[in-house]
Amino acid sequence: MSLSVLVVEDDAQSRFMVTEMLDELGYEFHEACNGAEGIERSLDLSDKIDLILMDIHMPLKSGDEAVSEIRTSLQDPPKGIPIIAVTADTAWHNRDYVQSRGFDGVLSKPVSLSRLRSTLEAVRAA
Amino acid sequence: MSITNKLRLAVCGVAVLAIATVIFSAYVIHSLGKDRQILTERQVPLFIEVDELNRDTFEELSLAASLFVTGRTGADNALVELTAISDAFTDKLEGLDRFGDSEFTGELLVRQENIQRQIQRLQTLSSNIDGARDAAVAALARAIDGIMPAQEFLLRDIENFSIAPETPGGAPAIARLRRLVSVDSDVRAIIEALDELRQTSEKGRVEQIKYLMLVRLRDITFALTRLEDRELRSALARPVTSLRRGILDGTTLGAKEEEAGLNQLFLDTTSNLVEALNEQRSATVDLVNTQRLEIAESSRVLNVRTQLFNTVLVLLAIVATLLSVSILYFIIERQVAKRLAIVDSNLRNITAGNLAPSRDIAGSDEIARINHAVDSLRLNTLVRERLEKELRDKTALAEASAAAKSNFLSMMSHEVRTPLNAIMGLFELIEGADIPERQKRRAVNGRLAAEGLFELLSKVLDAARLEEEQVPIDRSQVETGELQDFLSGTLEGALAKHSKTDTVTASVEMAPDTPRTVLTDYARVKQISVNLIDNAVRFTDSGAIKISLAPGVTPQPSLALTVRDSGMGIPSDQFKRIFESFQQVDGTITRRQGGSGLGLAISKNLAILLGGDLLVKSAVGEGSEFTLILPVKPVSNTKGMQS
Repeated sequence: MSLSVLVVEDDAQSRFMVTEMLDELGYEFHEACNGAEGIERSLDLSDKIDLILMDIHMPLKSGDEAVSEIRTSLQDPPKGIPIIAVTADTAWHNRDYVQSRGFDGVLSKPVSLSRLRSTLEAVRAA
Repeated sequence: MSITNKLRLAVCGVAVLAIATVIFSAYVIHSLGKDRQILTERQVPLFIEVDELNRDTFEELSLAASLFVTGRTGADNALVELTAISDAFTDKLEGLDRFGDSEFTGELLVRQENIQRQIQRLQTLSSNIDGARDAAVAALARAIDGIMPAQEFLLRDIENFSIAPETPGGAPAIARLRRLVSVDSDVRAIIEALDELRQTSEKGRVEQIKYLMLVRLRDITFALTRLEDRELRSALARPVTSLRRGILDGTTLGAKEEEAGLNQLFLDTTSNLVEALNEQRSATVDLVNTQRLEIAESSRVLNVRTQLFNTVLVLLAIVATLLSVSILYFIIERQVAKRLAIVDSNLRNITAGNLAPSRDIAGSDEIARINHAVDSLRLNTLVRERLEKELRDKTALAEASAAAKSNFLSMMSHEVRTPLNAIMGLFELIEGADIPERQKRRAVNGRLAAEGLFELLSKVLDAARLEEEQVPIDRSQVETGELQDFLSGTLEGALAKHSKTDTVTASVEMAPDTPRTVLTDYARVKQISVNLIDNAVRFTDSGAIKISLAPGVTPQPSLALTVRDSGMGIPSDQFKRIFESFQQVDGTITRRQGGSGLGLAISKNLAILLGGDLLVKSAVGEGSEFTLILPVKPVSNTKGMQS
């Protein structure tokens, strides 16, 4: 069975690039082009998506804010949907910090096909 | 003139004034004491001289007294003669009686009766003379008695008051006293002489005394010429003349015709004597009174002088004190206090921030110099305030521009990376597509170019953040064994990347006593290590790269990570520059060897941020050696920020 991934990314080219990679890797995907839309889509599709790739620096609502709202709104299932931060900000390239902000992992930009694959497989295994 | 010197001068002046006052006082006290001493010393010789003068005066009185003797002797002789004549007549009468010549006898009897009457008269006369003499002596004694208390008065006064010849009226007073006091002893001598005369009736003795009297009379006549008081002299001269005449006449006295003259002479002489004595006495009393007044005046003058001097002395002391205090007050008020107040207000103005031109003080003394210094301070403060303002403005500007730079860099970071991210990912997707090999190669080179740009961007941002000290430090216990593995992997990877695996030998060693763990930010340590290894590989074409882990040579326990290569080396004068941002040893190197030149600067800053340091040791042609020192436990006041 293939997983469904929600890609929250404001930059159209980046979003296109990630979705192309997901398609290449055989994943289904949904898109959101800012934090606010990301929250909306996560709540709407909460029972259809298995994972969220969340950009951090976005207009309207940042990934950080979006995650905290998603976490408070989605109490069931308790652990919630895994959310992976996708960012070039080195401050976020720290697993402990990312987890303290409500994320389950981090994927550093630039995103490569191999690292996207290994990250998704790790979530799938968990 | 300086204030110090002015004050010194004033004090000297006051001291001179004080010394002059003391010397003057001492002089006046001394001279007053001397005046009193002179008065005292004059008393004794005064009495002696007065005594001598008295003697002269009374010698003439003695002579006057001898007149009585002469008169008496003449009368006695006449009486004896008459008695002898009477006896002769009696004998003749008796003889005539026997011869019975009654006529002749009658005449003789008449004569006899005359002689008897003469004798009786002479006897009466003689007794009268005795009475007159006694009366004269008594009068003399009374006169002397009158003089005596006056004399005593005088002596007492002389004792009570001290007279110096120097005092006003002193000299004449002393002269008069001399005359008066000598009266005393001579009066006594005359009394004695009179007593002697009364007790003797022998003719020889009388003659002897008469002779002595004449001698003394001559002396008196001579002494009289020395008397200053003309009136007194003539008064005394009259009895002296009478005396001489009496004495000379007395030797031939005997005829009855002399009786009346003699008698008269006695009376005259006696009355003259008494008169002279009375004159003497009244003169003495007058003089004594005058003298008492003069002595009192002298004493009063002396007392007034003493008092005047005391008053002058006190006034002088007061004036000197007021003068010196005034001078000191004037100097302190005018030269010190007023001018210090100006300095004070100038200083206050500067302290209060009022930097308007300060008040000037004339002169070149200490206070004027202090005021100039204060004015310099004001000017310096003005300049400093302007500089501080400029500095503040510049600092604010620099901070604003730094903040702007930081914001710009953050923005750039995000804005540039985002499309790069898409470019790199999309190139990668194209690479994996089923396309001709030539197209694939184009995609690979596009991806590599994007990756290079991404890497450069990351370093520029890191360097910028480090300079702003905005890098968070996240410490954890790092196993040195794990670090060693990481170093080995990185070195191999870097050599493989630059295709130098065959030409460069690599080794990673760990000393036995290396600390097992280090509390530090592992990600930063990795970043530094990657930089050092990347540099070593890039600048070493052949030879060896040796990495070692060992205990650091530092006071605190530390880890030393050394990367040693056999590359081209670095000149020692470039050691400082290589750690500065955007620097390489030679601008041309960048083009040949690649690299941004930021790696070492970032590494050095990170090492310091971690509480350690990055050191270099190198020589041209002998390779380079970079050592990262990391404290086993970070010191509490490190510059690194705890996240």
